[in-house]
Amino acid sequence: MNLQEVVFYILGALLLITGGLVAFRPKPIESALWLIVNFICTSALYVLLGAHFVAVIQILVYAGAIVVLFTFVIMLLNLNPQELGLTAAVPWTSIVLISGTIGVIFLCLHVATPELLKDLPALAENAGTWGTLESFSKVFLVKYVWSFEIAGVLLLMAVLVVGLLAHHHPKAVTAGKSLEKDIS
Amino acid sequence: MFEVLLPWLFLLGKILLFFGIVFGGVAPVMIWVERKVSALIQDRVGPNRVGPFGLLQSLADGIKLVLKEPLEPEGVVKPYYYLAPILAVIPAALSFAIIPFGPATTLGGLFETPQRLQISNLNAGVLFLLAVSSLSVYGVALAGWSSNNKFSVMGALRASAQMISYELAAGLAVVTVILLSGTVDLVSMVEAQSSMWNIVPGFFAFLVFLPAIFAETNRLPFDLAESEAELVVGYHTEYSGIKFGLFFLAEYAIMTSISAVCVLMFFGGWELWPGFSWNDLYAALNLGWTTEGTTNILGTIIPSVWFVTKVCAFLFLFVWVRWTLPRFRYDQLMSIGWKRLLPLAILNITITAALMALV
Repeated sequence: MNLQEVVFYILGALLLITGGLVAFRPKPIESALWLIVNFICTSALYVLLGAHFVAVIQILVYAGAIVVLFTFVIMLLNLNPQELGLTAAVPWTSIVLISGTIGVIFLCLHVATPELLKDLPALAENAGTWGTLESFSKVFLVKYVWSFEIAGVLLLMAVLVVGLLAHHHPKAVTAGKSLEKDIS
Repeated sequence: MFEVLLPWLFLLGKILLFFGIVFGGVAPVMIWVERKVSALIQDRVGPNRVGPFGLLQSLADGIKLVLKEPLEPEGVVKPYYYLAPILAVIPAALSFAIIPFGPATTLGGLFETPQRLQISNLNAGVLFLLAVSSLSVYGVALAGWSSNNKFSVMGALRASAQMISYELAAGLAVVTVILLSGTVDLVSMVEAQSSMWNIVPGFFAFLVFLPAIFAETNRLPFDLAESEAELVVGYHTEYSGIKFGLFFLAEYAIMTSISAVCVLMFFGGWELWPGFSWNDLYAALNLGWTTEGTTNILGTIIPSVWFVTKVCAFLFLFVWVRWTLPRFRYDQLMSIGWKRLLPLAILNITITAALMALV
């Protein structure tokens, strides 16, 4: 086992542990903080692959912007574990369902990974530039430009929908109030 | 043996030089400058008791902060309360990893090939700096949240909203500079500016970048996060002693790194003057050495000092603005960020890209 593999397994273990902590810590703010550690570990995995650009973007977008938003909301709401309903027992059917789903996903990955890895030697041709900003941009903006644009349009639509929902929110509240009046 | 150790010693030397200068030199001196300039602007004398011109005042303050009793206010959320100052300093320290402070040099023939005066040469270049500075919001947010004080929470909320908003504008301004230079690497960016500094073609980008970095560093006129009149001092109200000192140190360290990036991106880094490089000057003076330092180590030191001078000018601008401009109102701050700077930045990228494609 060479040094790279050792680092990979340490990072993998850290990823799993922090992922578990994200899911099982009682306080939401703790989960958010472990999520940052998780993202930094993921980014370290990208660095291990030589993809510095993706690693930096991972930190910039996820740890630097999205989790900030999470913590922002958590701080605004300031919920305690009782309000989150974490004290209620989880029914065994959902435990079986969740672990079953995760098992199926792992099985799919186990079957599919060798097939996916067959494509990798093609990437090894440009090993010197692999993962650099230049080669990344070439693949991203030439080969996958349509998927990228579609994803962008999807996100834009999501933003518009959220805007619409927020815009209609006051009406909904007043409707609810009038409903309450009717009931009373 | 020496040949094997040399690159490592060089790396260690660069790291020690940077941290020594920034945390041991720039931060204390900047606090003194801040107080002296504020005194000058407000027609006062300023610190003048400790040492000549009050220069040792920062040292005295530092000793005081370290020796102070570590107070722990009631009701703080303990681990996060202690974690927050550390999380504030880490991004500030990390941001120096990619800042070059001089041209590539062989250190007067010590190395075979010219070595970069940069701790780490990352492929992502200036993007790393954006990523790291976006992490600095956690120190502020956690400090406010864990302090069990409504003023702290208000300050933290304001700071995080402000940092997210202005990061976008700053990032888009950086995109313009990347377009102009054709690279994200800061050393190549400086080399690309040898004939014309980016401030001329990228003037509007600078116009967006400057307010954005003032907001990123939480300094006046954007210091809503710690506005004394409303929030005591905002997110670090409940901090004292060295924990407060760390926040203070982080602020000045980030200020220094951002000033350095500004000089590197817009003001030609260590280049002497637009269209007139150090090599031209050496040739004109018949000195027989070049900036690469192949023949003389002075050829490396002089541009580095010139770079530091430019950074100092920027640091002075930070102080000057702080003591001159009043604070914005919170809604003004948000509308400037989202309705003025962001459209200007996007428009600027579009026009720059179109012009570069045409010309």
